[in-house]
Amino acid sequence: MTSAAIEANGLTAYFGTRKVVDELTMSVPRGSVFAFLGRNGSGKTTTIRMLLGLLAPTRGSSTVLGYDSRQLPPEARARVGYMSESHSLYEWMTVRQCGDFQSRFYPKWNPRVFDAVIGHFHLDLRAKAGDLSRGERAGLSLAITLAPEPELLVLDDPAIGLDPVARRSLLESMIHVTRGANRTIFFSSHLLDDVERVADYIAILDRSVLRASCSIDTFRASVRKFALHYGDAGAPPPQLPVIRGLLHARRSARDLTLTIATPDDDTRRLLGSLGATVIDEVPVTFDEAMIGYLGDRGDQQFFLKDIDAPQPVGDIA
Amino acid sequence: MTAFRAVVWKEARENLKVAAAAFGIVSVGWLLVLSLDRSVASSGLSNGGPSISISMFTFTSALVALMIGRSMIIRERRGDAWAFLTHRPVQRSTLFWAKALVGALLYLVAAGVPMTLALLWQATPGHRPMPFDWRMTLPDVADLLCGLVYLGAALVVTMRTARWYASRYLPIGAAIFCSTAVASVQTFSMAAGIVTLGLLGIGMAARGLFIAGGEYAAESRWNRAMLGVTIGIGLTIAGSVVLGILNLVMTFGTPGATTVRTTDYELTSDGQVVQMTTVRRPLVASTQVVDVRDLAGHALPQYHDSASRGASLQAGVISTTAIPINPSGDYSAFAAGLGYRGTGDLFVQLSQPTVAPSAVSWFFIRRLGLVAAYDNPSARLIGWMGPDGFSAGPAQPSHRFVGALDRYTELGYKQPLLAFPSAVYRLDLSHRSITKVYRAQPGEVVVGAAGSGDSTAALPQYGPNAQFDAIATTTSVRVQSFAGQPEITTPRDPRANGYGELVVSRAVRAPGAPTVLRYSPKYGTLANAQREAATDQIDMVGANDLLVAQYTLPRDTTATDDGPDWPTLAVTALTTPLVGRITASLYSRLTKATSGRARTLRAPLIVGWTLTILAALMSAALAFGIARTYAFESDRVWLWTTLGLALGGLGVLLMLALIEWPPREACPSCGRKRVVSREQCEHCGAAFGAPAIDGTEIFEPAA
Repeated sequence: MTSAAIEANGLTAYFGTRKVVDELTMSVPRGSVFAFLGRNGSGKTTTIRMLLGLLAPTRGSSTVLGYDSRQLPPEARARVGYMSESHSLYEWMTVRQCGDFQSRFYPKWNPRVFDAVIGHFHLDLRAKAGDLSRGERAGLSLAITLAPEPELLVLDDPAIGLDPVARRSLLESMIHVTRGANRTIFFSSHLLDDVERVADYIAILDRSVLRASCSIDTFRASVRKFALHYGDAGAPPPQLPVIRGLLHARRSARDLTLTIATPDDDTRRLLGSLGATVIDEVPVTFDEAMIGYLGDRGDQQFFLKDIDAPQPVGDIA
Repeated sequence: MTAFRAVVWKEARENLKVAAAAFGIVSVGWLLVLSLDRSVASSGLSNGGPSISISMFTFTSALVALMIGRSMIIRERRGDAWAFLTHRPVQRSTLFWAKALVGALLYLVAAGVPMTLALLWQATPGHRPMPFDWRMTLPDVADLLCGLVYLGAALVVTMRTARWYASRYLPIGAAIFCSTAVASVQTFSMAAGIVTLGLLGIGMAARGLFIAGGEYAAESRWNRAMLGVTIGIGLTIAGSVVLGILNLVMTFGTPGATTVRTTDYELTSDGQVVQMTTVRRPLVASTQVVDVRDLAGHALPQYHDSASRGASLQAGVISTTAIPINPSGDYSAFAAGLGYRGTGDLFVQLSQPTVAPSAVSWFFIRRLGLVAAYDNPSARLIGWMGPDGFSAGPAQPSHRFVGALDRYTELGYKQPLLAFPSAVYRLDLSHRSITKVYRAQPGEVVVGAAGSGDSTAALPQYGPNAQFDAIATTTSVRVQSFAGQPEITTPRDPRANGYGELVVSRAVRAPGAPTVLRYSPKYGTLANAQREAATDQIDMVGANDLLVAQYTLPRDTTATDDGPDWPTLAVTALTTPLVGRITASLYSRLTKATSGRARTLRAPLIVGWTLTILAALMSAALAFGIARTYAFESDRVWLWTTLGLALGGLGVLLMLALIEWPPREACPSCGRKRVVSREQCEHCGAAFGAPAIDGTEIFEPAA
């Protein structure tokens, strides 16, 4: 048996002539909490659908719990819980009917888990799914996903649109039920503090291309921010040469701030040659690192340009 | 099974509203039909006549089947809903069968319950002034079952990822084809067989698509084949409609549109049998006689101008309807209302009175050997007519007509003839009386009879000669007055042995009022080769049974035209699949069905074959080119090339409509365009490389 819960190899998807996932190769360790990150439209949902055999890849392959994604047998599906971003439910069913209906399909349906999650979200069993709030729908959706006690939990942006309390409830339920049983969670999200709190590993899709797949500690250690100060009397920051791994650059009259992925000794030597009077390595939070990584590298500059109109501002990436 | 039942419950609950709407649509359809039927029947206009093959229910059942089939899939076809449905520990085929079962049941209830209620209403005495037999429900049952094919078509349409928007709907064409076939066959068992085949094919296509998530490429070979057949039939239907429209445009939209010239042989008012050529122009209802010649082909001077070829040309020529003369002949192709969709096998409506409200409808009921009389306003049975006369009330008379009624029994006359093997009767419907006008002589059997009709009675200028009955037996033809007085008795013409039809005409204004007996080989028992060579035979009989003349008409007296219609021929040849042309040619050779005239037209035949072969070769080349461009495996290249050759343009269109075409992009290794769905470049074998590195990558081996 492979030690990876999910493995993808060259997974590629086209919608018409548009490439939405490009040669994605990655591995999700068993027992890990794996966050799958990227901006809207970067290909996360498409990847998840391909992994679960819900969408045929244009080319490439993947396995889930050792099974070929394209031919996942019922026994494999019984071991994989999936919660979509829209929290799909049959609107006309009551909460109780949703549970009863779903339980008919799973050999290992645990009603205590279902009841616990339903209770945690204070859901009325007689309420219709169509009448629930977004947070309540997420709770019900999570309950029917967790009750079969899946080995692998795949959550596609589960907290999207939820208020902070509902988000917290969702995360707590998810972690509480799965963490102790050495289960694997693979989830996509835009909520970086949630990711930082629960994830062991992350993978980042940037415009359909996988740019990172590593532990969260490695990621933190790999993204660095450098502040280059130029003295009041000296020359202003120069035009930047090509810097390998440069994610983001912000310049002001006397300062240059660079966010760089995996800087090595060559990078540091290159920075040293830029004529700055002082070079500081500034602490970078996970949130900042991620924004620097995912950021559309002109967005922030656009706003700054409006605000700091007198300042000569440039954006180099 | 638990999962299956759960899906069944969920599907039934979800689609109940659509089923209720479907129930409403079918019910309204039936209400319209029944109210119209009631108003028409109460006036006695057309009740009990041969049923039309396609009814309101044919349409409403198909419509609601499409509605329900679509509803079973559409909500869960895409995105997260599809994922929520299919990401369960259950085979997709189980989900499909649960959906299909519920869809079928909802459809059968929604369409079947109103149908059953309507039929029960029709069966209840007092609702329709006509007999009722449960076999009359078979057309509706066939339509109901055929609706299941539409349900399958809707599943295919809704599931399928289609390249062109219009091609998405092609599977409905296969269901329409099924409906057409069901409406065309003679027996219910054949209709049920067609529905079974249709369901099998379209059901496999729908199941395959469901399992593959709507993707053709992910389907198994058999399911692809079934989908191909389904789409192919749809394309054929759509193509036929397009070609039909094109043909109409070419026929009516072209200046100097084709005129149809017909040459036939007719009796003129002066008692001659002549060769008469008529011309009919498109969109003009009337025909015009343009040429009249004698049988040797010489122009007749008395008909040289158009005035002489006008209405007076055949004034005073009275003819019977066609009379069957062959006890072993197959008249099913002629006799309307036969087969399971008609009532001709059950009863024959003898009267279609146009005078309401006192009108009575008369039906000869084959099973009983009696004529039933129904009062139209009350829709109640009022009595029976047997060989001994009319008896009022529901009690059936004990004495009945013996043997089978002649299939050609004339309809709508006030005094129709009823021909049975041993006797011929004349009914006087106005006076509710019956007269035996002929009794078969020893050694002969009556095979058919027809009168000159009620209308001749209204034409006193023609005199008593205009009213006659013709009775054909196995040995002779007898012409007699309405009163039963024999006028002509002549042996059957031995030249017409094995022939099937006889028409008796009389030129009442001609000297001696000659009577012409025209025998036709149609529906007879001649072998194919003989029938092809056989021609109409004419006996002209004068007074005292004197045979005045006999003619053998030239072969092929049917329509001719001004020559081949080359544009139509070219379009037909180019769009006819080669395999269809070969099959038709082999069939016609085996059955010798090709007419002599068609065989003599070599030029159109050669041009037609050449164009068809040319189109097949071009289509094969096109299919081959497309298959190579998109890097099909070699067996698929040859499959589609063969289909292009066999099916011509249809094969190429099928290929384009069926397959999902991946994009192509330049190979970074060899620079040539390659399809993105292959792991390696089809030209140079290079694999797709990893995306370009920009230095921001952070990868570490997973723990």
